[in-house]
Amino acid sequence: MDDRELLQVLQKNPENGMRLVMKEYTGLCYYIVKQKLADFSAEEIEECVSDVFLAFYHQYTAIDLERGSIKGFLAVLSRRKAVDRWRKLAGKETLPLQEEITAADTLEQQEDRQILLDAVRALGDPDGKILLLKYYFGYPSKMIAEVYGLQENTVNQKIRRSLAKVKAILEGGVCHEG
Amino acid sequence: MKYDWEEMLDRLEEKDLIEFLPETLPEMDEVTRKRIEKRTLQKIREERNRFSRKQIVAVLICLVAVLGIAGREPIQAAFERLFYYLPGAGMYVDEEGNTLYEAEIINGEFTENDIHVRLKNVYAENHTVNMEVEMTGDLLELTQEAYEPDSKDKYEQLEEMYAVTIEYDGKQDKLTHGNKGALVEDKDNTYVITRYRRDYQRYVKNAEQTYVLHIAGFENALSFRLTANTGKEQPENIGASQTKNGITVTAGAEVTEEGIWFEYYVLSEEILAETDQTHRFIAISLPYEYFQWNDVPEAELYQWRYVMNRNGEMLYPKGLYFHDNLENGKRILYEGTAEDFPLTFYQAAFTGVGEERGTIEIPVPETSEELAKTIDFPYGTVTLEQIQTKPGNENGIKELEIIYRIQPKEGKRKMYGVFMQVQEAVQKEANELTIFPEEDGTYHFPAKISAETKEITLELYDPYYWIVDDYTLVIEAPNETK
Repeated sequence: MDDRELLQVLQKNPENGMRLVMKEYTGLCYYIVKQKLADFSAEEIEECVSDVFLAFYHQYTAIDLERGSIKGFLAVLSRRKAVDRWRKLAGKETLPLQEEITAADTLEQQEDRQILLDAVRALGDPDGKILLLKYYFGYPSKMIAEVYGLQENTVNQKIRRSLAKVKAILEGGVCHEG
Repeated sequence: MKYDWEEMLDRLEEKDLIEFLPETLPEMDEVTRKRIEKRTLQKIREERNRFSRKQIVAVLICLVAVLGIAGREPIQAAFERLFYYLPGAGMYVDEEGNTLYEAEIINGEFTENDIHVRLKNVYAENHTVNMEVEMTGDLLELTQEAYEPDSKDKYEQLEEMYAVTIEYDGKQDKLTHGNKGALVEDKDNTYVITRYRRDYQRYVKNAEQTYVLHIAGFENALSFRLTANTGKEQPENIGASQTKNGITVTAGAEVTEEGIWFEYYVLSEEILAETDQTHRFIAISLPYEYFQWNDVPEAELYQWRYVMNRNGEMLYPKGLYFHDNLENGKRILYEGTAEDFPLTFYQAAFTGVGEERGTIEIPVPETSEELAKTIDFPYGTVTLEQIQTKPGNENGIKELEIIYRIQPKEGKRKMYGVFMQVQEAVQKEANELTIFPEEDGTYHFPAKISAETKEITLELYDPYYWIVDDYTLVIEAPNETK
């Protein structure tokens, strides 16, 4: 079932639609949240994933399939909910992420995101994708290894090397291959 | 400049991720996935219950079983005796001779300051006037704290901003709402309440008069007049109607500037999972002969219940805002015009929910024991095959699992599920859990008990079953029979 059909089911019968969305995407959301809340209990992670889907239920009418997808929408929602919960659990509630983004999504921050994306793209394919699979989508190395048909230790090596390169670029250094 | 890698990742937006989205989605264990699904559906259910309108009296028409095979006349007689239709409020069954009043809407909606205000579901029973006010638009921007589901602040703020007063009999009083609900949307990373609805009840000496509702901050007002409803109706006078197996499905439609307002009602002496407020979320009804939700083909979802236009094209609702659940039906706004008529409404087999209960005592084994016990229900038999336990953990909690099968009986009603509860369970979380069978046809019911428990009392209740009949109604023209 593609995204358009899934949104139609959601419109026609929200309960059934939500079940289908959860059947398809719980894994994606779970690993993103788990990556961010790794220091907290399984209950906190599950509660957060549940909050992601509740937020999706509230907001799915805002999905624009011309510009995005359910997968992308849920990925960002998962990360943001996880950050919100992490801040709360870590006692860092003074500056909630949502407010922070709203108040300060300045040109400078847009440029920062661009610098990050450029740094990740500079790693080339598939290293850039592998890095984000690990650190944004929370995929375990073993799972990434299966996706790309690599050895798990090769994946770990790639991740270590890629992360060092990206951090070097972000710090203003120059990336040298090798 | 020093960059925090993790924080920069947190700030990525959907458009940034497009090229990095994984093609292969990760799998996870089914037990955890189902637990998350259940928790989410519970939250949605709680929220929707807050949205749900004041429940119209549950339709309980005491049709004896013989009416189903005795033709239409006795059924019509039952309706003549009991059945009211109140426009905007739905079907109503009055078994005690109450006086009902229907509303003539004078000003039912307005838009001011980019906020749309709508009056809904107005009617009165004896001296109690019922009404609902719904507002849509950017009503209130929330702080993070106020966004939390349990926050009282948002409702207090909304009430302060949009207080409602009622004017009638030459006096004006502030109204206090009953049920309420608010929809929060994330607009460019800012939480905004975009929908706020409130139910009101007002006791009046004389219901039959004109009422005006004023909302703080608005110059426009809502108004309506109530008149006694003397017209006991038959389903045929509401719209197209079909009775099978003692279940009457009635549907009608009207065309407005917004689209086609379609409404359908299901009258049954049985509780139906699809239309009963309590069971709508608890019992996950499945299309006939599909025991697993995951097995239901996509086409089946579309064909379960639909409205089609004259060209055989399916109509789609305009969104969640235009979807009113009733105790015994729904009112839905579809995209469409008068050109779409005649409409065809199709409803596949309903799921009925029984009220029978059964209990059985089971000794707790060390590891596992065959049971071979049966519990008989009207439309199926439950056979408990086995009980399994795991050793208690450090907290003195022991997990157990009861494995059972359901054998439906012959006939139009076929049992396919039952709720269970272990009375001694330390967590009764499975209380509202719909269980689906495994591939081998067995159902596995989990529970946690104290490691000290030597015997459990298993309670089986609310068996649910398909009622194997479908309904096809043709609505020839809008408002044809009203």
